[in-house]
Amino acid sequence: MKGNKSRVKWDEDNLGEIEANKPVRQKITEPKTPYHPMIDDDGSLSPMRGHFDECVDDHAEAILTALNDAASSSTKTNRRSGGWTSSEDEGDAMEPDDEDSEADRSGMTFREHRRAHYDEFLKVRELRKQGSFLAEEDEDAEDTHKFNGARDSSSSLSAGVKDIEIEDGAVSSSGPPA
Amino acid sequence: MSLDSVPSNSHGNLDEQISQLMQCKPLSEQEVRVLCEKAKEILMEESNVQPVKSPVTICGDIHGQFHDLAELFRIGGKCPDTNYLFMGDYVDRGYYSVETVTLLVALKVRYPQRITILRGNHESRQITQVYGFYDECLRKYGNANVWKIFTDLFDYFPLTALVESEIFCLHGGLSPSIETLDNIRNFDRVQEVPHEGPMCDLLWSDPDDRCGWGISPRGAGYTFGQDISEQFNHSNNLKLIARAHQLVMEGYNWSHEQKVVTIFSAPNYCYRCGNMASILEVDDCKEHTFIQFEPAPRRGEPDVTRRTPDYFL
Repeated sequence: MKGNKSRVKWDEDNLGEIEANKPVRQKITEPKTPYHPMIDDDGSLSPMRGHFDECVDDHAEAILTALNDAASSSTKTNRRSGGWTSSEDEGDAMEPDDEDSEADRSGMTFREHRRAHYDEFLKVRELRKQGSFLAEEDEDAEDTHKFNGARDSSSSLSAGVKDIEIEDGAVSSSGPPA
Repeated sequence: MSLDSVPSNSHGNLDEQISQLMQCKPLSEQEVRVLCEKAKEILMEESNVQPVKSPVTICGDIHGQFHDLAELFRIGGKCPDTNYLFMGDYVDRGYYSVETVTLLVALKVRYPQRITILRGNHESRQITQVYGFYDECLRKYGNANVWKIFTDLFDYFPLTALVESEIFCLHGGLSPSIETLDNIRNFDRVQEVPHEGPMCDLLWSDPDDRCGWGISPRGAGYTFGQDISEQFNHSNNLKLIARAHQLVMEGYNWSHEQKVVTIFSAPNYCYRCGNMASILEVDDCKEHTFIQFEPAPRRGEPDVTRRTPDYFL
């Protein structure tokens, strides 16, 4: 912090050596950052002044285009995973009857994905077998509700099967396990 | 001020609650308790095949996507200016099941003739314990009382509706045990959704390209072919079966040569499917118009990958 007593001195030898032994660099193929120079009316470059708002739309458009290009070059298998279609192209990409015609990267069609998603009943049946629910509804729901309002079980979808407390014989009278 | 027979001050409170809910702010436990008591009185009088007059706007799954429900009302018109028929699945999966179902029940209590709310397969004690509503109630109220109050109320929701005697509306689909609408009218619906049988089928079945009845890959309900839909519509003098229950990318999807339509009203379902939502307007002349909509922009929710199809969880 002593002012500019001595200026920075580069170790030129070392720099030279690094430069000489530099490995082969990979060419990065990602799209350029969209950049719009702020051009004044007189044609000269200028820093942003009141132009920001006007530029935002152009900017968004450019980003969209770049992403679009990137998406379409990286996923040739499926139009829909290109995703960022404009509203004009959407119509044909999403014909209801086409919904099963295109497989995505995992090779699954829309309907297969949907079928896999709607496994709610199967999941619930599995949990029921394990007696994971607050009450068994089979006979009369009302009376068998041994309801413990503050029971802190985490049974969200994200928590999944493994996080749900497993008790033998449904809701036991001894209360939830510790 | 409206000229309803009920004193206006009793609505005053409810109107305030509705405008609070419209801002996505939940009611207190006590308010929910009182609201659901009133809702129960109204719903228990409704039929298993609740008659509905046109004009009416028919809506599919919402799944706790409150802001999209708000968008739906912006696009379709406010209740009671527009009459609504919702075909179930208000809760689970989205982050605002509490606000969503409370708002719909509040509107039902305030405008019982203007809005019909059917039961979906997610309006069930067991499903909600796995798919989010139970946990959301615990998180927002610190206990499960509100979950208990609502799931008890779900037992009273009508299972199907009939618009102008010609559009049969329900959450899932048909059942091999049901030939006529009178079959449906006759059973006792006030119970948890059973694991099998006609009531289960109405909430779980799906139309399919294959003819006849099929085993549903869901494990509940059946798949039914075009021949089944044609026969059912013919025997009951119906023009159309309108149902929800399945994600469709355009928000609506015709099947069985326009005998069946699927309507799905949760845009960008699960905040990631990139699908459109839609509602079906049936006007006074019984003409149909689909209105599609996308998610309204908003803060505080994930907006993971709109328009990207690595769907599902």
